[in-house]
Amino acid sequence: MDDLEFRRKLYASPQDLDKDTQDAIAADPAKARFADDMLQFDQEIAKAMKIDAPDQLKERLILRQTLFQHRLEKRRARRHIAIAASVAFAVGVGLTMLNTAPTNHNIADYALAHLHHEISLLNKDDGNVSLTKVNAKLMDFSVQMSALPGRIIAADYCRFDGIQGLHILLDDNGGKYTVFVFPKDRLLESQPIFGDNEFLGLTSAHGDIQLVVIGKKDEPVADVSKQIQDTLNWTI
Amino acid sequence: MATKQKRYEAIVNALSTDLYRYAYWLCRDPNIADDLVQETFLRAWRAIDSLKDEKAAKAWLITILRRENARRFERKQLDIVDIDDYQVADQISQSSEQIMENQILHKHIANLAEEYREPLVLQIIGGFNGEEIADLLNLNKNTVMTRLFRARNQLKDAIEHANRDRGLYNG
Repeated sequence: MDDLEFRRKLYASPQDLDKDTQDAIAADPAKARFADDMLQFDQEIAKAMKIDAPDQLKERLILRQTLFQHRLEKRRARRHIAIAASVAFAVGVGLTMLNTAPTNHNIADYALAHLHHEISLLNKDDGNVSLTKVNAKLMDFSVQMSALPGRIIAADYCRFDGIQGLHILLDDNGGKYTVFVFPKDRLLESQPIFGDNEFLGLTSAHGDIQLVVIGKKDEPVADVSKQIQDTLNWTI
Repeated sequence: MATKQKRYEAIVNALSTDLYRYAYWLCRDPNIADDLVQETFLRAWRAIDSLKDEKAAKAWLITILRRENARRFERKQLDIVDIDDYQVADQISQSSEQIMENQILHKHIANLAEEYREPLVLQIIGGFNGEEIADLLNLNKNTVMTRLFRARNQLKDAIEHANRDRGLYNG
């Protein structure tokens, strides 16, 4: 092996030498010294390159991922309650519609697709349920309402994704509202405000329950939500 | 296979220090390097299911980091780094002579053109061989070996020059 080639190999990769180079080193003490020199130099380069990592880099990387994951889960949970509310709305408005609708594997998708279509059924419903009946059903959630705004059109249990809640349909001065009462611990997180371009939903937590009030965007949903919240009281 | 969480923590523990070092030598700024590493590991977390073999983790992370670094330039975050401002890591329990040499070497490594500096760092910090470096940098192996040769050549020259200036050359 000529000197030039030897030098190139030692400079390119002193720690990973091919057989020919190793043989050349074994046969020539000058080459062996040169090889030692280069290895020594590489150690110095390595030492200079191995700067300290910043403080607690590992901890910060793991923490950041944990927070990211947590935020992701919160976002998923928020979507869950928004979809769940829409599903219950559709279910409450008209079961018949569901029967005649095209098959859909995902009820949430189905409900969202039909939500706007089914609101027209509310206008046909002229039920009138007493507050006493509503409170009888609310006993299951250990909560009572001392009053409700407007006329109570319906109050039925609803169930989706294994969670049982109560949904109440109200007509307050011509504005239609859907109210849900859910037990709090069944839900991961809820979004205080959600909606789309037609509906607005507000969620609030009280004791062991979550209260969701949904109405059309141009209706005073916040006012109605506050009124209902103010009527809540607790059973033993 | 371990949970996502466990896999992620394992690669953080095993590789984050070296990844930081690679990032530092790439951009030569400790703060930018820190940011690059943070972004890299976040992307790694999101894509961790695509990592089939833990042995490939280091090369995988380097690839992500290189892409992140490229994006930095696309966003025109070119930071002109003053070579003399390099923060040299704390060196405890070394003679002042050693510290001085270390600092000189540090400066000259940083001074190398990126096309020579990067393969050298991948070889020495990353422990990659010529073929692996060629893969990572999308170059052919001969080009890589030539650049490694030039990198060490330049460093050796620079050190010898510095030693001469300090009167240590016994030529």
